Amino acid sequence: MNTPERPPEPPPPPPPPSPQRRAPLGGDARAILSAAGPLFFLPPVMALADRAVTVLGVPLIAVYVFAVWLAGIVLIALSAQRGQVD
Amino acid sequence: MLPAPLVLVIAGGYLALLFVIASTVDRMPPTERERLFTGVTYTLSLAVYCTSWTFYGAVGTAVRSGLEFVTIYIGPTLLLMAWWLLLRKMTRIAKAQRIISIADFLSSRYGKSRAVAMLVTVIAVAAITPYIALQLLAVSKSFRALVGDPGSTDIAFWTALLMAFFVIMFGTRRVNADESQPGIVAAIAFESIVKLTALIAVALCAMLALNEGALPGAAASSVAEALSDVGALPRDDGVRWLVLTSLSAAAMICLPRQFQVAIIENRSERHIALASWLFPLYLFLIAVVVLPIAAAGLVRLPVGAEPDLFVLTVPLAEGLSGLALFAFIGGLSSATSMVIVASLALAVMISNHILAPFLIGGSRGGGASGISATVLFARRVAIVGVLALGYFYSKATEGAGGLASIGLIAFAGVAQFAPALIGGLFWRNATRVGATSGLGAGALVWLATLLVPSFGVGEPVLAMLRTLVLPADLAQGPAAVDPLVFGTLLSLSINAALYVVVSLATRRTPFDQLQATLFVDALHRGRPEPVLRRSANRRDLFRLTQRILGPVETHRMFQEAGVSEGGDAVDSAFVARVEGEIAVAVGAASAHTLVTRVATGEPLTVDTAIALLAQTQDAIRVARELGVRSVELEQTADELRAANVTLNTLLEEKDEFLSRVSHEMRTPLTAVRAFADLLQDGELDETRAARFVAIIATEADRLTRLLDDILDLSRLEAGRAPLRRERFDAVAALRHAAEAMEGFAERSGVHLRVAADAPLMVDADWDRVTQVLVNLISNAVKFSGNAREVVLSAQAQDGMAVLRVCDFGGGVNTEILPQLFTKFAGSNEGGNATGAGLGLAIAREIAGGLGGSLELETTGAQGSVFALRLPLVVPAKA
Repeated sequence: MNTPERPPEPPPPPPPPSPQRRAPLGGDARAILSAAGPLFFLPPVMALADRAVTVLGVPLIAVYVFAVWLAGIVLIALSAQRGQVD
Repeated sequence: MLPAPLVLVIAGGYLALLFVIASTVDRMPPTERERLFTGVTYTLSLAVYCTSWTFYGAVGTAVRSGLEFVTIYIGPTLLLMAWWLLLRKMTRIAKAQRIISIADFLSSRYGKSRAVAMLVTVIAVAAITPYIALQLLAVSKSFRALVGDPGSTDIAFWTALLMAFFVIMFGTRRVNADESQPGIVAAIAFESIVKLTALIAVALCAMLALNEGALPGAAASSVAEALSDVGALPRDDGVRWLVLTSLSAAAMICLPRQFQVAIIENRSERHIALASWLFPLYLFLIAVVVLPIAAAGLVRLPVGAEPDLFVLTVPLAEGLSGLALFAFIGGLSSATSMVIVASLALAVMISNHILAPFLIGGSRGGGASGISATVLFARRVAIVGVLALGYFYSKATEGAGGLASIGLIAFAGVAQFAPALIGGLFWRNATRVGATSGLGAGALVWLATLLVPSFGVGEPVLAMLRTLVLPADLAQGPAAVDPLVFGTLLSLSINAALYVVVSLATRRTPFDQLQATLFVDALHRGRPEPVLRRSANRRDLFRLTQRILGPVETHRMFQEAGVSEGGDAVDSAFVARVEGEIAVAVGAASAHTLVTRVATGEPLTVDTAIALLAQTQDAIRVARELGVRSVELEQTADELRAANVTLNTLLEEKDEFLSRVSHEMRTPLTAVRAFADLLQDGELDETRAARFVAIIATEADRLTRLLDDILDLSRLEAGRAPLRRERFDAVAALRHAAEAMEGFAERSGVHLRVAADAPLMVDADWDRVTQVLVNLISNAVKFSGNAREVVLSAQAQDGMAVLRVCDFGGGVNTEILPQLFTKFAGSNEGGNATGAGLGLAIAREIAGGLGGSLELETTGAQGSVFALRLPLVVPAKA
């Protein structure tokens, strides 16, 4: 492939949002998500789930970490899809 | 154990497959290729994040430190949650500014500073070389685990050599317009599938093994014990947890290879939105399978087995050598994809920011492709150099430390970019001196506390720093601070502090301010990018471009832009474009210097920089105003539409009026005509002739009155009828009108009774008021029916003189009620001898013109009451 080719032009950025338009719900949701996400993985918060309990042989803290993680992924997926619509 | 030739053949075959994929994609027509590069491909290319450190090392970390391994994957998850804040802005800037590496990005932000670019490049090379070494080590270690002692074969060397070949083949074909490498991206996306599949397969095998319980002589005596070991929080104060999470979040954007795949190779912002959850899901899967593999290793392998190799040794111990081979290929995938992208990204940085200044100086520009060939050659040399450095590093540290510790040192190294990078995106006042000092100092501390000690030297410096900074009990002994935590926190705090303090203390040049604004406001600005006002002699610019890009490319570019032959000046937009194209080959800083040398422009002062930005802000304002204006236009259109409706109604009324007028005029005219014809025939006796003449005279009078009325009404309506103002007693006017109508009333057998006493002074037109009252009285008498009386009353009410005319007839016909005061309303009534039905319309116009009103107050079987209201004269204050 030696013929020089230009990459396709990047899509033009969306026009500046007009001041009247409110941020879509997806916008609020993702802002809350990205602010709240790290809180669940702070050591003092995680210490709450650090108990001598196992779920199907797996320590509770490991179940907590992976469950919160997966929930976060689902929530970002929902907010990202909504964000795409606008 | 597997036979070495088999493993070599399979591994070689796999690498050949990568070559095929890369070259197929590179050869695809662009349109077809774009279909291949979806959000999923983008996500998979981000997974170059998961290197052999992840593939083998995550299990190793889980065995040594429990859940700590998940921090490396939670960090990027949290960063991607905020994709709309960071990644989107970065890609938009990179596209607008034609950024091709993280060094370019930081240098462009700080006034296209060469110092920043070089510093970033040096730090990146220092941090990434050990990381590349780690991959080579992992490949050779895993090979040894799979086939036993390979004898004299130096696997790390051959891997490095093959990788160098691969990157040179696909990464340095030419100086790309946007530095995107589709073939390489496709190959690493494929590798991401392979490594995830391999890990999941090994995890399934591990779960089967866990089912069979613990073997004697294993590290853990039961599955439960193994699981509680690998699934436990590390027993410390949690600072290391936080540091690791933050470092890995920063690595997502600071690692040159992540910057390459996430920012430079990004094709659409939608892909980022998709990757914001799909990539965390990938990481989640990678992390969740670590638990069973680590636990299986603990219960099925003898004590002392290397945890970093559990991914291979667990399937081997279960007798699944085919699966072990697949796992080895997975590990090879994760190692090669990292080596490919990292060495390419580093090579571009080295050639653009360190070698380019020398290349430009030394080049005579004779070649057909200008300096491009030299640049490509420099990149190839840089790739070989980087891989050679990695190889030697791996030889120097072979056997020492886990895989994870080397990776974390690299993370801490590139994290030095984070303050300047994030600050540069949001903080307008950050200066290049601030960025340079922060980066420099942070890198030095990182070097002294983390990198140099990893070679096993420089301990005294580290010990001195620890005693200097930390209290005695934290510097040494059992409670000593973790070396990684110490090095990371110390280097980053010094870095960030210097960055902020020096930025506040230094001034920015106007050009720095311009670049800063372009970065900070990237998401709020509309197109186009502001262009520095410069002009250049076409010949000079052509010569420069030719020297860098070669005659072929230069001719194409100049022709495309329609810049004619000759020595005329070219405009600023074209100069900016040329600078962008040159920047791809030699970096933004060099390109800026070179172009500035040939382009003459007004020197960039604060004023011009502000004017430049104002242009774009103007564009935004105009766009907004257009929005406002269109709303205004819509309002005007609405008003016009309403006016049109009114006009149409008026037009209909006018037509109606004209047809009524002609109808009203035809009746008397017909009579006049008929009697005139009879008179003309001349066979009439005197009396009859006299009667006919009298009728003609009456009808002529009627016509005259009608025309007078029409004229009167239209003058009143147009406000042209003069209304005199004089002070008189409304009661007197009422009596006068009653007297005038007495004769007419008596003939109709109706008595007019005036019920008023106190005078009511009004300021009005005596004649007109009398005219209205006469009209009302005449109507009242006419419609009195069998009633014998019409009552005229006058009284003061709410500051108005109210003159009422009450009859006791049958009331106004409900059918004509709505049009009572309009023209010709009464004309349909029988016996209307005196007027054409214009009376009430005229009366109302007069009342309105005098500041009063005329209304029908009540009507019905008991009679009707018309009320004329006129404003009372306010008694003058004495």
